[in-house]
Amino acid sequence: MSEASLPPSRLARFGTEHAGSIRQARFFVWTFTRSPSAMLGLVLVLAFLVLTLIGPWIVPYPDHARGAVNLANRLQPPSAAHWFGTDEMGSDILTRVVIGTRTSFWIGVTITGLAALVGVPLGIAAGYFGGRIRAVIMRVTDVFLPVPGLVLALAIVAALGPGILHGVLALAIVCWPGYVRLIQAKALTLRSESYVEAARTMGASHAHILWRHILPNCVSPLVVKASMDMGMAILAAASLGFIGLGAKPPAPEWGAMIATDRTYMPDWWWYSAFPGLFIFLTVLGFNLFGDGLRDTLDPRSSRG
Amino acid sequence: MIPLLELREVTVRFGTQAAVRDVSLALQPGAALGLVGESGSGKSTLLRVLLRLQDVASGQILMDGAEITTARSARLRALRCDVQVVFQNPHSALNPRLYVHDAVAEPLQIQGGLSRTRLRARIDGLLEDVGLGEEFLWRYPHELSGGQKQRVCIARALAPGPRALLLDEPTSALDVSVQAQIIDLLRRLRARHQLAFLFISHNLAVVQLLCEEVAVLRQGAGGGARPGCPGAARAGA
Repeated sequence: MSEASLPPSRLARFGTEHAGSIRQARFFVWTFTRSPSAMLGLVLVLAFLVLTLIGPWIVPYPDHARGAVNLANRLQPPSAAHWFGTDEMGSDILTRVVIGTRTSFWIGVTITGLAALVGVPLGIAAGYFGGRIRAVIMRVTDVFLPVPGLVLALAIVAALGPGILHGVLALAIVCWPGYVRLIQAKALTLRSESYVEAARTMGASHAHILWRHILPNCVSPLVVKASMDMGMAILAAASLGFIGLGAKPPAPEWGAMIATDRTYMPDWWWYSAFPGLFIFLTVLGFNLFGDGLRDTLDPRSSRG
Repeated sequence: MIPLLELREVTVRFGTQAAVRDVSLALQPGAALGLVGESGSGKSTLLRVLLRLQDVASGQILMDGAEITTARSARLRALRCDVQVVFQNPHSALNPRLYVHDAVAEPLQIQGGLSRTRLRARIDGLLEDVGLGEEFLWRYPHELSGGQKQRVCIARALAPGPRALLLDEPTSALDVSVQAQIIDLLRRLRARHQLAFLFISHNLAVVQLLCEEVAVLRQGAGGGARPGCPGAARAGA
């Protein structure tokens, strides 16, 4: 019957060949939207991304982003002209906080990206190949794991010298062992799955098995962890900025802004309150979003 | 007659424990050999040895009379098309992220050399062989029943054109009614493709339906093959 009929159009073929994916996507959306906290996370993350994308075009005083000197206007409380008030140089805090999303975004993406880039291949190698390769990789990872993250980052920044780039590098070095651990455990269980053994009896190469079976099944825990780590990385970078080892004023970075206001607290509360609020909402958003993703992508873990 | 697959005094150790001790076994081309034994008697280990997924402590594995105990890479890859496996639990035997189409296509793609249309025709043929229609092609494993999954596994095992199928309790994870269908399917496939079967089970009734010979494995040691007429099989239990 099928031989006799005309070849189906491209679109129709796409529809049949991806019907399963479409059904699955619909199911994901359905599970995700049923959880209020996941939706809150999604809204916060989306708002953060939108501000990152269009920030420079919507802020009221774009020239204040890198710090403007306008001493007549210094330390104004929130008003119609300056919704979040002004800082000690007279810059608009709303502008600086919104522009700060860009700093935080690239800090978060770079830290998690670097950590995953190092951690995932090592974790796959350790979990899949096992034996001596695993022993070496996990030993090295274990050395990094028990060191408190921020302390190690402090030491690294102290050695390299303060600065946002060094802070990012330091936090990436702190983060990667978590990815090795996670992916290693996943790859270890996948390695003995029947379908991997079946692939081996077909004569599949390691590259084929890794690409076809191991990696795709590592994606969902990876996405969940990366989302959670975005929040963590942003928080850690702000902490480094706060103690003066990360971004330096007048760079529009939330941690550094809060740090500058320490001398003006509590009378000029708005100076640190709004950057603080943005840190809080961003980190909360990424965590809730990650939580929601985990419940959606791996429903078993939420039950126990 | 040279056996298709043969084990000579194979011993497998896990640590100091011998899981399989001095087992010899021969599977003739086109024959159906049942391998029975209680749980923990080393049946599945033996199957993994035959598939070269498990290294042996001592003994030999032969295929068509040639030793393959330590064969590696290219040679092993060539041999592997001849012996395929169907696992016990169909729920873990299929990658949850691959469509039925991709699961069955996998061995063909590893072998290579098929154009897109020929590949598709071959997959259609294989699915038809195991009694699954075109509507199953683009489904994920979790959208199939246990029996349907096992049919996909059988199609996947048939894809490289093997001479022998190793069946590791392929029906024990299924409902009784589905079990009968799968057994029936296996009998038909065996006749059509002149396959040799090594059928592992702890259920003698099922073994009798499929196999002419039965070997008994007890605590890692082989009790030898004996003719599988119903009476003898019962005596073996």
